[in-house]
Amino acid sequence: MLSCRSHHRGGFCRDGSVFPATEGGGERFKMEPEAHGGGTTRAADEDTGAEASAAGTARGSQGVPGGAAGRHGPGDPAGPGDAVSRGVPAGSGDMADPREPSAAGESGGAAAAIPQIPGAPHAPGPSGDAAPGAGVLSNRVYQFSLAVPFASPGRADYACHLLTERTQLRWPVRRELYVHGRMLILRLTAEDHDLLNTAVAFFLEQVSLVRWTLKHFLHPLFA
Amino acid sequence: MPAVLGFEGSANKIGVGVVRDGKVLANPRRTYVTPPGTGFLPGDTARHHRAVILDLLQEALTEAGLTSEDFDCIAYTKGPGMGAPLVSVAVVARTVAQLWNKPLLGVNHCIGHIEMGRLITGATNPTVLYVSGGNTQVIAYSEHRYRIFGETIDIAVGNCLDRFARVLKISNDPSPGYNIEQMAKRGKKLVELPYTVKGMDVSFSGILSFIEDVAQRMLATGECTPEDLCFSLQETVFAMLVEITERAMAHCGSEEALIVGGVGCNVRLQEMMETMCQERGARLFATDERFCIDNGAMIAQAGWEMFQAGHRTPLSESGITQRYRTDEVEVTWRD
Repeated sequence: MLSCRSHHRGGFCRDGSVFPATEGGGERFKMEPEAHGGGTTRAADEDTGAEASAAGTARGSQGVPGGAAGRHGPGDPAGPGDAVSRGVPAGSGDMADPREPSAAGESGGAAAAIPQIPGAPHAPGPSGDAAPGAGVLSNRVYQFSLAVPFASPGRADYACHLLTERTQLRWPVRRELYVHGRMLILRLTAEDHDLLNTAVAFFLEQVSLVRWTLKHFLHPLFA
Repeated sequence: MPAVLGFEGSANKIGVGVVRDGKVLANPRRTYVTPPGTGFLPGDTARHHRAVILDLLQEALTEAGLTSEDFDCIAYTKGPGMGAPLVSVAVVARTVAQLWNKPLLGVNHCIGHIEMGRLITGATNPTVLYVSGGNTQVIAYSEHRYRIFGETIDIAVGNCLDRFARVLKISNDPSPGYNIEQMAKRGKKLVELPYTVKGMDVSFSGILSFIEDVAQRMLATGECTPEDLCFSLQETVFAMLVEITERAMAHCGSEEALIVGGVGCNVRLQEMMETMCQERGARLFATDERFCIDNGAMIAQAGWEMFQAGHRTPLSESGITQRYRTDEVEVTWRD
């Protein structure tokens, strides 16, 4: 399950509370890891000329954009089931309903402790230690990390395989996607927070779709 | 008897179809309709598709009376179309193909229309007029390719009609083109509009700009009614399409014409094409709205043909492409 808190734009939490958009759109975002699985992000530094962290990089951070996902899965029983679906305002989406009992342990279970996301995030920094192909447009780099638990390492690997090849972004956003145990780890890095916002929303939606498809059509015997 | 499951979602319609040996076993579809005066945006459209696709898939399986083991192949729309909706549908198709351990086939949307048109109508070797919200092409088959003889050099005819509908705030339910067609039936006055045929190609952006510009003034002064404008726009753009189709038929010596695509449902277009075909001693073929409008079965049918011919799409190539030309595909299933 994904658990997050955003102070940048109107967002939602797993517990159902909704955060109103902050005026002016702050750049500070904090994502708190929880036992159910969550993501982590580095908080933005106050000063624009941010001091390098221990890893030698300056990091901005960005929350999950509001409206990136709703609370119901695909096939939302509350949604339109008719042949014609009305236009829906932004904000509706396909996040799993946290009130739903996890099916086949897909959500990972409440009691599972979240592992530390392995590997230090790395990004181009002011020291000029640029990753191949990355352009340093400013001193600020934004990064978003996410760990999505699956019922088993096999399923996580499956999802990673399905998402890796043909969900490559065309924007200047670097993506890392890999499996650690039964966690699917996603890390997105960009110098533009709007692009990062878009990339985060895109990936959340694709992960959700794969997850729901697995849930609906994977035979429990082969889980 | 191969059975193919097809996924279509390149625009605002999402469909899942099942075809086995030339028979359509299931073809459920949903349409994303936006309020009058607006169009559908990629993100919102993709969101809609994601919300309904799994239910549609289940519906198709139930209607066809098949299970995962019964399928030989999973086909999906590789392109052309809108990026986000295409990706969302491709992700599900890919996942299902991997889950069920079935080969995957990426299908060209335009060829899906053509193959479904050929299947339903029985046309043998027609000149095809493919007209929809996203595409306007005159196509004929030659040496293992569907060759584009003429096309729009800017926007599709359906796009022209849809955007004009927004100007008049015509409802998008069930589709703006359908509502324009109904209003046009009540039109009495022909308003002269720019007629733009350039050899084998057509252009619609100029006529759209013109009618967007004059519509409000003419309506305000009472020079014409909205019905007159709908009638005039249809008459003009359809005449352009008939002209380039006839030119292609003359070039190919074709005795058959086939209309496919969502705009092909338009009865007035069919009438005008029929008149042209009769004058030439040719036959006109067209399908009804079940198969004219984007649907999953057309992708399944094209996938069926491709599967029989030995085509496969490896997972590493199972992406989507927003620009996928009709003549890029090698049509190995035809002589």
